Amino acid sequence: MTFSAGFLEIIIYGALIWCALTGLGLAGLLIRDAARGETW
Amino acid sequence: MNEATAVLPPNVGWLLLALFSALWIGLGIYWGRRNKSFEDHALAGRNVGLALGSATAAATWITSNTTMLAPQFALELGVWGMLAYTTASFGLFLFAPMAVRIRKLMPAGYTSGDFFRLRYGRGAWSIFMVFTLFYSLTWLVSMAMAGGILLQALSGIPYVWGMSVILGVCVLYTMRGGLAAVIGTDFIQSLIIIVGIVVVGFAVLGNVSVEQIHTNLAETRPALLNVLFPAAIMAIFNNLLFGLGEVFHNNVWWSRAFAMREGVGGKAFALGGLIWFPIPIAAGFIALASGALNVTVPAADMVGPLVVADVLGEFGAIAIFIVVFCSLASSIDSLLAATSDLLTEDVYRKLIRPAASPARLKSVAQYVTLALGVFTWAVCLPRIGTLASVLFFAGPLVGSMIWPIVTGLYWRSANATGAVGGMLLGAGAGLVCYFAIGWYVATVIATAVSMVWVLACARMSKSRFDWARLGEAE
Repeated sequence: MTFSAGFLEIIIYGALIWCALTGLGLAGLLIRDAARGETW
Repeated sequence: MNEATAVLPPNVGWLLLALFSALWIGLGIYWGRRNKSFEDHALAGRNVGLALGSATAAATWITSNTTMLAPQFALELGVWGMLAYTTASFGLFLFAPMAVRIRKLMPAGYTSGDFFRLRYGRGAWSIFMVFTLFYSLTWLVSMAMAGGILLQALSGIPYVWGMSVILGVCVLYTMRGGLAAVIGTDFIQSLIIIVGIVVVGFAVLGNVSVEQIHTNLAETRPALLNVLFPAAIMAIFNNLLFGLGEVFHNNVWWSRAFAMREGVGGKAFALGGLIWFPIPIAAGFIALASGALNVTVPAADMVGPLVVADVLGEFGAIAIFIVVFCSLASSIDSLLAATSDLLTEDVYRKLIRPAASPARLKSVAQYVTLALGVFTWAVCLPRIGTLASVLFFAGPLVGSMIWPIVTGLYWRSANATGAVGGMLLGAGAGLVCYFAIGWYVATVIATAVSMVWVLACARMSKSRFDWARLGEAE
């Protein structure tokens, strides 16, 4: 039994898109914290 | 790999090294200006917000192992290798509720050593200190050594120079800026790492499709696609427990739990886990593409940079150099800060000078950071190059501390006999199995033996711990 090409496609593209979204999310979170004066 | 086969010219490597070194040191000095006391220096004033808290949890866990070993895992253990590596994020997810509890029970705490001393007494604290210092110093030395080796492999910069510069830079900005500098630079480093991995990943997929990768693997190395790959499945359990033991016990994580503003810790560690979770797949799949791209891989641990340099040329080599440099710095600075705080708080303040002023403690922490840097540099100088196996050797030690910590935080019946016996019996059994069977069972056995002893002692105990005693830490 082997992992299919479709499964590989889902985890690879999924991981890259997930990374991109978390990067954007982190930047957005910093802007929100800075606007509220809650950075540190 | 030597200078002749490096993926980047040495002058470009030196230029990048100089630019980022200046940036980190400059930021360390800038953020260090507001540190007046040991609390400011060690815990960034206990007021870190959600964005910086999440980023520092993720960035510290993204070591050079994540960006370099993930492709190696994929190359050797296939699809399961990448998936196994992602389980290390469970340490951050499970630490999230613990961070909330730690902040609640110990509002004035400084270190994980404070917890062991107040919860279980001096005996358990001593064993914890030996275990955690062995693990932390081994991790620190292995990171600095990896820095020298990787910078040489990527750009031809001589090992001693690369190792000395990356270590020296981290020591300087950690000494000057304390945890604030570490957390601030972690945020920038985590964004650089994420952007670098995404750009490189999509660029590789622009040159070879997943279908082509799959077809090539099915023809040349079908084992890498095997759903029932025994060695890879064992790696899942080992990685999972190693990750839990590391995050649960190490002051790197406890100091962040103490440093985050009230109400932030739980969310920040959960978000950190979510940020970290896809990284081993996003960075690791590149290795699976090496066959389809006809890239020759002379050493498995260099597969990532070789594929990226082959596909993207000098641009890719620069991107991977920056990602690796940031991964190394974000872990080395955290280890320097956390270990220095542990020695300053648990040894200097609690054993030598209980009446030391906050300013004096801050000064001591800075000198301890410097001393740790000098010690690490001296150990790294001969380039032993076999410390990865020493880190696996530490697996039973960290695995044996999982249950004393978890039960100690949540169960009033958890006691010193359980903690001391759990750590000693668990670590002992794990080390015996490490030599008799192999590294891949050592952490599992250590955790299991420790669990049985700790739970049995808690079950039979009639004593009930008073949580208010943990609030005495200051």
